[in-house]
Amino acid sequence: MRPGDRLRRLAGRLCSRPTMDRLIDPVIADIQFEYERAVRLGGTLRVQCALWTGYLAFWKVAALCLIAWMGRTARAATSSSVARPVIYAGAAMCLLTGVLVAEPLQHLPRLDYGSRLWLAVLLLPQSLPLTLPFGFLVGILSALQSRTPGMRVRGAIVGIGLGASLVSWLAVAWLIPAANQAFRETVARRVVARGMAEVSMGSLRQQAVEMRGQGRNVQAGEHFIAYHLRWAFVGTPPVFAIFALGVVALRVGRAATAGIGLIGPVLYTTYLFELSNAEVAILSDERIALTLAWLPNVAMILMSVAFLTAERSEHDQQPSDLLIS
Amino acid sequence: MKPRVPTLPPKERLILELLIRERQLYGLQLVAASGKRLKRGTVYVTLGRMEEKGYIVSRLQAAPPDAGGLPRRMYEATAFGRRVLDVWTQVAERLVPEFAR
Repeated sequence: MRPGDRLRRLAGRLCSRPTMDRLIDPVIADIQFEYERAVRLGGTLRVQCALWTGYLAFWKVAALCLIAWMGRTARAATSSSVARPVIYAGAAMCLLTGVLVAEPLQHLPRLDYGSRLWLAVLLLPQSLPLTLPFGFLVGILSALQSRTPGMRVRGAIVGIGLGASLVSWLAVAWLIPAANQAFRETVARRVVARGMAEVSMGSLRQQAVEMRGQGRNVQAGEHFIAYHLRWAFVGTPPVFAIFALGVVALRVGRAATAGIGLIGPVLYTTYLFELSNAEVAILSDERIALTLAWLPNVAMILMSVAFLTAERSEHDQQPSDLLIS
Repeated sequence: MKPRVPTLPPKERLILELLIRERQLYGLQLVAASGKRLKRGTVYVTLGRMEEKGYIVSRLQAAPPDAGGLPRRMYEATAFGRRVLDVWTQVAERLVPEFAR
């Protein structure tokens, strides 16, 4: 086996034929030519030098190919109608996650770099139920504000929203209780009893039922509402996605789109946070807790349907109708 | 589609000048002849781009039987590449007289 043969085989699996012909093969041919010449001239140092200079050139070319490929992929992705909102949403999620993680970290006592990093990791899951729906909302509004998405794009966005719901469910059901508990114990530096936010969904409901049985209706209400709010948050990503599609369908201009698109979800979140702090005995009736927790989701879906219906009726209007009106 | 105006960045101009002077060269010979202005890791990317633009052509030349190894690629300027260099040089001379000196 000649020097560079293994690298060429590896590159052959990853690169296209033209890239191999124009970039990789000439570099490998140079490595082999220089190596043969160094061997003929003699001297271990000369041979090693020829090899390492050749390998360095190869990796430089490989890096340039990778950069060019990433550029092409990014261009293709951002020009695709489905990928565009997803990329924008991803960027919005990263930004929002950064803000949500940085804020509580600032209020912590002085800790070493390792502990701070670990706490930041533990804060990531609890940001997911917020960053997923808001990221979707901002992503869809900014990527599609001047476009009319077709049914295929809308279907794909709602499908991705449902996928995000699944991720949110995993976070709410398992990741967040575990990460919250680990966070509290890391900060307190001792074993801490689990609070309401640190127990699993099943335990939360079980505790609520037990408290109601004991006549502790206010605490039972708190637990019931916490349980149903977790489920409501799981349902939020597709709801926000549909709402954003509805707002885009209104075609009311950039500022109005941003205004309507953000005011609705901000009110929604404020309502849910207020509800999560409510201490009223009436919530020990599980049907009331369920209704109040899911009310904003249902309201947003209804609003979205109204927006989308308005768009459809505008489309259905004949040119002659428009002339008359 | 709007026709694209051929461009000639400094490295491509250097390669064309070297290829016109020497008739045909390998990538490594170009690097050596450029006096360190061309780099071994980037010369093939530039050559590939020039081939796409039609300024140069390349052909494979089998390695000597005793040496073995992959065939090496030999580069040569095309008539179009020569014309682009000519025009570019004339324009540069008119716009920047110092360029001619």
